[in-house]
Order: sequence, then structure tokens, then C-alpha cells
Amino acid sequence: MAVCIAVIAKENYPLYIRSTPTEDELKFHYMVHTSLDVVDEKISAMGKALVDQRELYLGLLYPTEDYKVYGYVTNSKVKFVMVVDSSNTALRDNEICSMFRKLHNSYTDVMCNPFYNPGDRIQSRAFDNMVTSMMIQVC
Amino acid sequence: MHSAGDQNLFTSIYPTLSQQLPREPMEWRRSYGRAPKMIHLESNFVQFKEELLPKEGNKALLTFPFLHIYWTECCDTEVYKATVKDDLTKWQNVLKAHSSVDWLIVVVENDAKKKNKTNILPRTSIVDKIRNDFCNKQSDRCVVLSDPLKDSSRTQESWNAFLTKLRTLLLMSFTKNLGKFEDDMRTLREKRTEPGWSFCEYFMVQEELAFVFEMLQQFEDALVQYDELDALFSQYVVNFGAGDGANWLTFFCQPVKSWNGLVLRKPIDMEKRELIQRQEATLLDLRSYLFSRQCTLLLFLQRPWEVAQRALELLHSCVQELKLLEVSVPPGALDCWVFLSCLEVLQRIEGCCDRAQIDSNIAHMVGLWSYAMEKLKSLGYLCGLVSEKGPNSEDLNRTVDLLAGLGAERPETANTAQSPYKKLQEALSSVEAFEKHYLLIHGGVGALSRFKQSCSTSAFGGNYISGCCEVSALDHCRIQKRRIPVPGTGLLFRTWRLSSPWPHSELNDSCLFLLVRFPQTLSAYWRFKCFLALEVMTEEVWKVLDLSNKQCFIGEPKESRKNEGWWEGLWKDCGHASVRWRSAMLALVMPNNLVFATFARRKRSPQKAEMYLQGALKNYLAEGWALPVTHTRKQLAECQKHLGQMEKYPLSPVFHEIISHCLMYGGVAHNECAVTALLVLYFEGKRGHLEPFCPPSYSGGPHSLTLNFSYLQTSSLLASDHHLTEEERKYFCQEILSYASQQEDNPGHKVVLPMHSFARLKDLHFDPPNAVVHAGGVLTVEITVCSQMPIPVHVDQIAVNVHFSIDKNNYRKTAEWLTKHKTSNGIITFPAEASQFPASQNSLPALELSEMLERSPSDNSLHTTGIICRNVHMLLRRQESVSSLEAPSGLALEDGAHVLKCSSVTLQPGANKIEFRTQAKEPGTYTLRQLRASVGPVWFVLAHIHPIVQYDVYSQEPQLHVEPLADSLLAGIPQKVKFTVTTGHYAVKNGDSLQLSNVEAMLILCQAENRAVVYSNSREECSTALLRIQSSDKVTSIGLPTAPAYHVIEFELEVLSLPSAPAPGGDTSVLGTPEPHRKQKDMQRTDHCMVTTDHKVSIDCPWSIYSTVIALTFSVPFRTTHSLLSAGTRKYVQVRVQNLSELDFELSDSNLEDMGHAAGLRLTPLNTHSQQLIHSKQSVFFVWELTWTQEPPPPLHCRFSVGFSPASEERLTVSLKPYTYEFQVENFFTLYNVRAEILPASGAEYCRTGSLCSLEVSITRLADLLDVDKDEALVESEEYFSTKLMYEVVDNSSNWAVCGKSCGVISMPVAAQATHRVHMEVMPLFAGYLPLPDVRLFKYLPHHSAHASQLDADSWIENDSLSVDKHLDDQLDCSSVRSRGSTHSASSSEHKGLPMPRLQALPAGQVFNSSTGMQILVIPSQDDHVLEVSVT
Repeated sequence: MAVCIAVIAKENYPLYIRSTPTEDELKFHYMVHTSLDVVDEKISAMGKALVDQRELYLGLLYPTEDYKVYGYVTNSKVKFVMVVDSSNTALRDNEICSMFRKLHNSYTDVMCNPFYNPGDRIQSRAFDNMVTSMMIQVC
Repeated sequence: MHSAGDQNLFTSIYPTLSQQLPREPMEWRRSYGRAPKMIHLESNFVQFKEELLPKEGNKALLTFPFLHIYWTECCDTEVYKATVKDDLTKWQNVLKAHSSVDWLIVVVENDAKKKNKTNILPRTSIVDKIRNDFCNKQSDRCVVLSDPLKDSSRTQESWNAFLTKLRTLLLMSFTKNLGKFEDDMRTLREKRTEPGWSFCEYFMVQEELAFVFEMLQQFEDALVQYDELDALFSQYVVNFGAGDGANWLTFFCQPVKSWNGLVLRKPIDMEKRELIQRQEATLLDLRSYLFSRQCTLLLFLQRPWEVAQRALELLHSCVQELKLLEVSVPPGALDCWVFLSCLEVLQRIEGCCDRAQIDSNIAHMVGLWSYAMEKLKSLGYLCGLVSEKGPNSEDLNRTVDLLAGLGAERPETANTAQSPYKKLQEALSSVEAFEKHYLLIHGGVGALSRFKQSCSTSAFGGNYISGCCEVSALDHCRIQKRRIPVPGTGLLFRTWRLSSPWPHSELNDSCLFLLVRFPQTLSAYWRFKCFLALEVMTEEVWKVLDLSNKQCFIGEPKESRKNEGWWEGLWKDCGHASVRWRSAMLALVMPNNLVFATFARRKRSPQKAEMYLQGALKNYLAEGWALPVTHTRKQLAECQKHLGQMEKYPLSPVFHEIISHCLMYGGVAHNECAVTALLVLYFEGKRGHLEPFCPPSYSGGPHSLTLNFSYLQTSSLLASDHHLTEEERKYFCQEILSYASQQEDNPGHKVVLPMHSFARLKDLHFDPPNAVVHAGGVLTVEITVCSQMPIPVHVDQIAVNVHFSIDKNNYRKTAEWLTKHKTSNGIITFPAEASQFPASQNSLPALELSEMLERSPSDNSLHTTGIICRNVHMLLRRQESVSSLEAPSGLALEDGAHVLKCSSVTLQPGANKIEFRTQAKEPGTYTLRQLRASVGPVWFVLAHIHPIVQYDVYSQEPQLHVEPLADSLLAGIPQKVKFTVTTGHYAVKNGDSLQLSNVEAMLILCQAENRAVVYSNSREECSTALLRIQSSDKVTSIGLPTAPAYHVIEFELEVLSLPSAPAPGGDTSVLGTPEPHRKQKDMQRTDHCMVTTDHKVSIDCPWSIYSTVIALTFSVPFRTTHSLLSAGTRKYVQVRVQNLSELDFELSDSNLEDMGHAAGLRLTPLNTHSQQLIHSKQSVFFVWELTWTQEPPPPLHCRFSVGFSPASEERLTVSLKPYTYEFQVENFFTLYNVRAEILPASGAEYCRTGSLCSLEVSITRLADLLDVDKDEALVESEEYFSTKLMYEVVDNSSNWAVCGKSCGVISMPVAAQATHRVHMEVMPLFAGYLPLPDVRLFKYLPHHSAHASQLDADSWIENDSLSVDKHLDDQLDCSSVRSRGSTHSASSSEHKGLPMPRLQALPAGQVFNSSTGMQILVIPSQDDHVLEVSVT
């Protein structure tokens, strides 16, 4: 389903990034990093007043020829970025959205662990499994 | 509009009409709830022809006549009847036949004509007739237009009415027809699942609608039509991909033959439209046409940036759709199409926007630019235009095919020089042209993104500032809420008043805030605490965690910022940079290998590429993206390598220095500027600028050091990068090594690189472990270095630079202090560098939080609680703008005298242990500062070893310690004493000895087998030697074994303190003296303390001219007390020996000796055993009877002596001196005999309880006047002596009630056998054998002052207020026995100077109570005891 899933800290460094092992990892790193531009843009475009009611899901960040990049921002400005193969047209917006919610819940679980140091790379196995499930699901 | 009737008339009116009609807007009400709009109607009039009327099923809306108008200017009834009516009827019938109801009859009135014909009917008649004849119910379908060609107010009026009518009707008709058309269209659309349905047909129908809207200037609506078509088509393609193919779609799947890109310059591309109409369009054609229409409409709508945005989407989706539909596309065709399209869109946008608009919407354009560049790049690869050799024939063939697919250039762009078509054609024509165009496009991206890069830093700043504002905002909110003034910046979280013991909501607020705001820096403890506190909240907690910061962070930022002027200023400065700098950066970085290749070939400015790469690298590093960092670095390395290679001239040293200075201190930003600037200077031949600084004779090395420096640095970073493959890492490692080996012929120059990429210091181990070594000692430092290199690296030298400092507070750094306080195990572990993380994360210090609880002073209840952050000033401090992570800041080789070195080491990948050995020289503290490893001229330097690692060197004076082996030394028996000689810097030579000056009372016992042990500094045993001890009268000499410096010699000696040296033993007697009561407690406390003796021994040491004086304290194991016992006139002396020590002793040969050797005094021992065991903490008593022959006996001066030896041990080698105790006994001769007798009441046989008995006390003096009587109580009158005594009857056990006076003063004649009797009444209170009450006798001393004697002593006594110290009786037992040296007397209990007589207890020996121990039988009184028993 997803080919790359990344969690990016408020300061824009990656907390977690995983892509399908078959493809060039670097490409996805660049892609996710570049998509942060759009995230920034979308957040700042919304303006202060709207932030309260804002939807966490940012929608399609940018499409490339082969992939579509979707974004999601928590209130603490942690960004989730998901790269989906463009050819996978069956995927609807609300499915992506629900995937993001799942990801967010799982991330929250990670944060709940008092032994996890916020800001560290995520190494939780549970989180890893969740991501794996989202990456395999349909493919 | 369809006009019929009088054509001449119409032609004359037409100009005015077509001009006037669109002038006024009309409100257009629309069906399906769409909002009404104001539109301007513009219409076309055509002459009525029957064939123009729409037939059934006609879909054309554009050519459709909406309103049919019949024009006439007939004013004559005749004419009307003759021609016009027929004509009208015919017209109407035709309309009816086509079921058209939108018609209008216009009657034009002309005054001129009217005047000509005078006999005409009233004007109205014609109109009325027409109305009657044709408009049976719709009278408004006939309008009168009067004098249209004249300029009069009437004309104007009539025009207006006419136009309004016309507009209304036109609109009505239009709306009706449009509605019908839309309905038809919908019906057609619903049929799309039917097999014969064709998209192209439907396309034409809906486009018709779009045209109409466009015509009506309703571009929005027109766009909607195209968007709907777009969506419909996309959906079909998607469904096709899902397997749901439509027949018509297969048509679009035909192979792509033409790829000439989008055409956006014409409003309608009729060529393509026809293709669609003929159902011959390919997918690309359809898409192109659709987009060109959308583009046109968007441009009409003034939204050019949306064009760019949509274009990118379109291009992407087209490529996808072609893939999905499995359309066969020649290689490169799509690239061409996309490239052309991108450029077309960009040019179109640029053509219709001004600069400001482009700037503000740059984000979308970057995407297009970079997409175009990407495509051009792939075309370049495809056509062999980037390879070194140029294109081969196959490539050329491909190029020709591609160019053929472009077709001919379109006429509308043929004249412009920069058309995309021309660009592509040229770019593909030759390698040079390709490069030119590629660079041009790259430049385009660069230009756009440079603008962004300038913003990117402020974006960083903005982020940070916003963070700060959040904090201050929160702070502010909280303060306002609590209305507590801000007490400075010390408190991050204000206190709050407590209503309940632990305010959950507040706490949670704070905890959440803490968790969210400072996630990294919160210590584990506090994090846990916060989590615990949050536990009280429900499951919502974790949702809140994310929401909370919303509340926290957003909470009225405006309001808070108003008060935070400082932050506000910063905020404004930064602005909101919302530019896609990352995309731009990527565009720069990704294809750089290509850019670089071209740059390098052209030998132009490769530093430009480097600059881009450095900038990108900086940003990636700052944001902590490891893989991009690696990739960028790799490119950078390549770039730098070429930069280094193209160097032709040696650099002058000054030049080198300037550059290296920039590199060292400037960070990347400065460095790139400086290097670039200098290089430009240099390469442009302006060496003259630098020449003055260079000595003319200088000839530098063949390479540029600086550029090699950056290359080497990058190489080393890459070699240690785990994201690269092993081969790549090896390659970069090899690069460094080969550079190092090349430079061997060029000694003296060094390249300093940071260590962290080469190797990591893992831990450090000292031997000795406490890192303290004496001067001259050997210290070993073993470091573990983790080599990051993939292959073993031979390092010429590894060195640690050591900073030496003489510690100022030297007194603390003594050997003892050092050895005691440095307790570490000698291993120092260095934390792993978290270099991968961005600076923002690591630089925040940990929060120093503490709880604050305040209790109210009155009732001690908790009233305030809070969390204090003690280092808030650190947290809220403005961080320095992104400091460069790559900067080799201040990497200079430190020179110092103290260096630990280790040569020729091969570092294997992974952990390596390297050992440094050093001999300590000067005492002081040595700090390890810089670790460096050299590979040829390349030096890897770790500038600072952190945490601080130090070792200490000390120099120590020789010392002697003497201490007992046991806790305390016991006097009298041999005791062991340990001698410790710490040699320090003094080496003990053969023949050195300790000279002990003897003390009389302490013997040093020389044993045969006395061994001394020599230990090394680390307490390892080195050797043992026999101790040579020579004693003379005054001096004992102990020969020391030879020992080197910084060793310890230990041996033991036995010493014996002679127990009863004359003086000290006497102190014990203090215990026997009567003491005032208040000192009783002190006495008891000291009860178990042993008496101690100090012996001072002076020792001469060989290393010092001064002698050491050592005090040894011995404790006397025993305490001895004595007492006098008397029975009548017989006297006994009892001695009690108490063992205070922990040891058991055996006592023997007890002896009591009269020191005065008084004649006639004899001490007869009553002790049976000669040997007695005395256990620890127990006592043994000895008793002697004292007899004398001569009266009165003199005071007795006794000495008690007893031999003792430890009970456990076997025979001691030395004979021990006995323990002695001296004391004095005096006044032991009995003077008075007191006898009490109780007689039953007269007549009774026994004493009875409750009845009075008589107590008779007789006091008898046994001796004549003696010396002891001579005191104040003695009254002399006429050679008759008497002394005043006071008696007192006391019954402590309350057996007796003394009736009447219980005490009295008597005057006792001082003569033998003088007797004084006293009678008293006592009443027994109990029955049984009762002991008699005590009778006490005191010496009654009148107050010696004159006036005191005036007082009647008796009255004092009888008043019963005599202040007799009632406790005196406690002391009476021993008061007569006075030890030697005792000066204490009972008279000290004098009462504060009051004129009172004093009482002095008679010493125990002088009074004998002969009735002590007597008992008398008392029988109960004969009471009738009635036992009442009541029975009911």
C-alpha cells in the first residue's frame, strides 16, 4: 500500500522513516524531505485562527510521476508523511486518512512509554509492526 | 436572434440595437438552486430562415436561435391587412411547427411616415390589431418602438422599454433552452454505460455548454464543464485500470505518434478539437486540448499559478494514464512531451504575469522547472548527450525519431526565438547545445531557489522564534490566569493556590506542558512524575497530549505577544517564510552529477557546484537527514576532488593561510564565500592582489592544500558513513591514505582533520586506577578507540596532548587526599556523539526542576505547591543561529611540552586499544586535552577530550605513623603498636634506623621474631625483613629494612606501660570521695571510662633532623574503690577492684599494706583465694580486718596491690608489675554508740498497731576527748567539754509514725561512757516484725558568725524548716572515709550564706548503731472485723 512511511519531528528531523526495501531508500528520503516544504506551506497558509479547527490530515502534498505524497500533522507539529505508488489508484482519500489516524494512535502509544525519550528515533517494535502492516496490506 | 419581417427596417435599427443591448446587465436566475448572476447579453441577429430553426434532437446550442422577432413599421391598416398579417401568420405557423414559443413582434413607429399619410388610423389600432390577431393572451409579445432613429426623450423612453423587454424575453428563452440542453446532456451522460456511447460525442455536447458560458463571460461555469469532462475521463481511465474497460476508451489506447506538447497560445485549438470530433484524437491530444481550454479559462480568471499547479498534476497523471492504458510510447517521447509542455506552460505564465505575481507563486513554478530539467536530463542520457564521447549512431537515430515525433513547429510560435520547440530541437542537436540548455534550465531553477535559500535561514529562525513565543505565550496566559506578578525569569511555572491538596488540573496542565514543550530535555524522573500525574486523567490523556499543546501554544498568541515586545520584534524580523526551499534544494542537489560533469568539462566554475552542495549539505545536516547528507557529501567529494585536481599553480602560503583561516573559523557559510572569492581572484589571474604577501622565494607543494583539505575532510566523513556500501567507504578511505602517501616527500605541512569521522574515543583506562601517581612513577593510559574506517589504517603516531598545571590549592592534593578522593575505577567512558541530530535538539540543557511546597506558618497546612525550573534562563535563551556542524572549528594542533605518544599503530576497524606509558615527572595535575592521530601529513585531531580526563602526580614527604593495633592500649600488659613508614620520595638505605627515646613508664619489649614488611605504593607486598632492635638506657634504635622511594614499611612493636606509676593511679580515688549530689550523674557517666595515661615518645627519623613526637595513650584496665566497714568497735577495710576492659584477668597476690607502718595496727586478710579470675566488666572484692592495740589509732595510709595477668594468654615473657592502689582511712575509731529500743505501752506485752509505743534512744560516748572532736561543735566551759549533736529519727519505710519531735539537739559531754537518752513516742502502722526506725546523729555546728549565734538554733529546728540536706544520708556511708588528697567535705552544702547552723554528718566509722537490724514484733490491734453477708 504505502511504499514509504515517515515520522518527522517538530524540528524536521526524521524520527522514523521506512520504505519498501526493494526500492532506493535515498529517493524516498529526498522525497519525504522535500514534501516538508509543502507541509510548512500548508500549515502557514492556514493562518493562526484556523489552526484550532484544522484537520490534521493535510491531504495530497505533491504528486510526482510515480508517487503521491500525503501528509498529516499532529498538533504538536509532528509530521507523518506517507508515500504511495501513483499507480495505486484504488486508494481513496479517506482510506489514506484512516491510515494516518492509525499511525497517529500508534505514535501516541510510543509517546506514552515513559522509557521512550521524546525526540529520539522511534525503535518501538509495536510501531514497526504497525507500519509494516500498512505497507504490506494491499500490495 | 432570428429576425423576420421588414429587413430594411431591421438593418436601419440594427446598429443601435446591437450596441444598446449588452449595455445593461440583467439578473439571471438559474435552475437547480444556483446563485443568480448579473450578465450582459450580447446577441447576434440573423435573418429568418426556416432551415435555421432547430430540428428535433439538435444538440447545437451556439447556433441555436433563441428569440424570433418580427419587425414591421406598418402603420396602415390596409397594408397590414394586405401583407403584414399574412406574413405574420406564416411566420407564426413556421414557429409553431418547430414548437418555438419565443417570439416577439416589434412595431416601429415613424413620425415621418405618419405625417406622410394623413388618413391613417390612430396609431394604436395597428398594434391592437396585431395583439388581437396573434398575441391572444401574451399581449407583451408585441412592442412598440417609436422613432428609433431620432434623438428625443420619447425615443429614448421607447428604446429603454423595448430593450428591457427584449432582454427579458431573450433571457427567458435562453434559460429555457439552456435548461433543456442541460437536461439533454445529463440524459446523454447517464447513458454512458450503454455500449454505443462515445466520450467524444459527449465531449462535444458538454463543450457546447462551456462555450455558451464562456460567451456569457461565465468562465467559472465554463471551467466547471471542462473539469467535469476531465474528471469523467480520469474516472474512465481509472476504471479501465481496474478492469472495467469501455469500448470507446480502446480508441485512446492507440500508440502515441506525436508528442508536440501542449499548445496554450490559441484560445481554442481547432485542430485538436476536430480530431476529437472525428474521434481520432489520441490520449495526449485529448488531454492537451482539455488542458489548453482549462488554461485559457484560468487565464481569463486571472489565476495563472493555478495553471502551473494543474499543469504539473496533468503531466504526472498523463504519464500515469499512458502507463495504465498500456499505450505504447516510443522511448523519450513522453520526455519530450513533458519537457515541451512544461516550458510551454512556464512561458505562457510568464507571458501573462508580472514579476511580483511570479515571485509570490514561485513554489509552483519550481516544480515545473525541475520537472522539465529532469526530463531534459533523461533525454540527454537517452540520446547520449551526456556521455563523455558524445552520441553514437544509435543515439542519433533515436534523436531523429524523437524530433520527427515533434512534427513541424506550430505557426503561432514560429517567429519567437525562444519557443519550447526550438529549445528542444536545439538541445537535442549537439552535446554543446544540450549542455547550454541544460545549464540554462538549471540556472532557472537555481535562480528561483536562490531566492528561496535566502528565506530558508529565516525559516529556521522563524521556527525557533515561534517556539519561544509559545513558551512565553503560555507563561503569559498562566500568569494572567493566576494574577500573580512575574517574579523574574526564575520561575517557569508559577505557583498556584491550593484548594485541594494536589490540584490535578493545574498539575496536569503543567505536566503536559512539560512533556510537550521539552520532550528531550526532561529528565526521566520528571517525565515519570508527569506521567504519574497524568494518570488521574482518563483515557483522553493521550489525545490531550496532542491537544494540550494546541491550547498551550496557541493560547492567545496575539495578546501575549503584545506584552512580549522583544519576541514580537524578532517575530516580525523573521516573517513567515513559506517557500519550498527544500524542493529547490533537491532540484539543485539531485542532478548535480550532471551539472558537475558539465562544469568540470568546461573548466569553468566548479566552486559554484560546490557552493550549492555545501548549502544543501548544511541544511540536511541541520535537519538531521542522514541519507541525504551522505548522498550530498558523496557528490561534494567528487566535486572537491575535481577542484583539487584542476589546480595548476602552487598556492602561496599566505593564500593558504587565509583560506585555512576561513575554513577553521568561518564555518561553512564563510568558508564557501571565502574560498570562492579567493579562487575567483586567483583564477582570474589577479594574483597581484596576493603577491605582495608572498615571499618571492616561496614555492609551495604541487597541490592546493586547502582544497585537498575539504576533499579529505569529506572523504573521511564518507569513509566513516555507515549508509554507504563497504566498497564506497573503502574507496574514500583509500583516497585519504593515498593522499597521505603522496605527501611524504613534502615534509612540514600538515592537514588537520577532525577526529570524529576517523575514529571515536570510546573509553580510557588508567593504571593505577585512581590516576594518581607519585613523581617518578609510571602511569599507563589505555584508550579504546573505535576506528570508523572500513579498512585497517596504519597510523604513524597517536598522541595525546597533555596540559600541565600546578594545582594552586596544593594542600588538598596530598597523597592521602588524592588516594582517598579519587575513587573511580580508572575507566572513563566517553559518551557517543549524537552527531546525527540537529543542533536544536541537543543544545537544550536538561531542565532542572524541583518541587516546591509551601506550608502556611499558622497551621502548617499545605497552601502552595508548584514546580520550579531553575535554569529557565538557559532554556529561553536565544540560540545562536544555526551553527555549522561541519565547521572544523578551531582545529589547530596544540603544542605542548607534555605529550603522550604511541607510534606506528595499526587501527583495525572497530575497537582498538592503545596504551600510553609515561613516567611522571613534576608533581601537579595533568589534563588530557587533544587526541590526534597522524597518517602521513594528515592529522586527525580531537580538539577536546570531554569529559575532562586528568591524572595527578604528587610528591610526598616521608612520614611515620604509629598507631595501636587494638582500639585502645591497655596499661600494664604488653600491647602491640604498628609502625608505618611511608617513604615518600626518600629511599630507605641500609642502616637507617628510627631512634626512639625511652620513656620511663613505658617499656619497649624486644621480641626475637620481629618482622618488617615492605609494601609498594599500591599495597602489594614486596619483601619482609627481620627487624633489628637495639636498646640502650635512653634510646631504642630500630633498624629499618631498605626500601625504595614511595614504599611503605610496616612493623609492629610491643610496648608495655607500667601500670601504677606513682602519680597517676591516685586519680582513681576521686571516685571514692563523697560528692555533692548534683555531680552524681557525671560520676555515673564516667563510671565505665578507663583512666588513661599518655606516654610521649620522641622518635628521630633518618630523613629529618627534627624528631617526631608520638603520644600513646594507655588505659588502666581497673578501677578500684575502697570502703570502711565497722561493727561496734571492730573495723574492716574492703577494696573493690572493677575490671573495665574487655579482657579477663587473673588476679593474684592481693596485699594491703599500711604505708605508715603504725605500731599496733594490723591488717588481717580475710581473703581465702590467692588467685582469682576477674571477668570483663566485673568486680572482685577484698576485705581486711583492721585491728589496733593503741588508742586512738592514727589515720591509716594503705596501699593495695594485686598482681594481674591476662587470663587467656599463656605465660608472658615479661614479669608484670602488680597493680597498686593507695588510699587513706581516717576517723575510723568509734566515738558514739547509738542504741534504740522500742517498748510496748505500759501494761501491754506487745506493741500493737495503732497504739503508741515508747522509743528510747540512748547515745553513749565511748571515748574521751580526742583530736577529732576539736571542732566548732565543741563547747568548752570550765574544763568540761561538751559537743553539740543532733539526732533525728527517721523511718523511711513508713512503718512507724513518730509522734512529737523527731529530732533534737543535745549537748553531749565529751567523756567516756557519757550517755544521753531520749524518749519518743512512736506508733507502729503495720503488724509484724518491724525494723526499728533509723536514728541518725549529726554534729551540730553553730554558725560561726556572731550574729548568727543570736538566733535560737532550736527554734530553727523545731520550726521544722531546718534545711537539712535530706540527701546527706546517701553519703553517710562513706563520708567518714576520706581518701588521701580529698579536700571535699560535707559542709560544702552550706546554704547560701543564711545564718543557719550547719550539720555535719559524723563519719561512718565514728558512730555505731548497735540496734541496726533489730526488729520488734508488732501485733495487730484487736479490732472486731465484721464480715457482713447479706442473703436475700
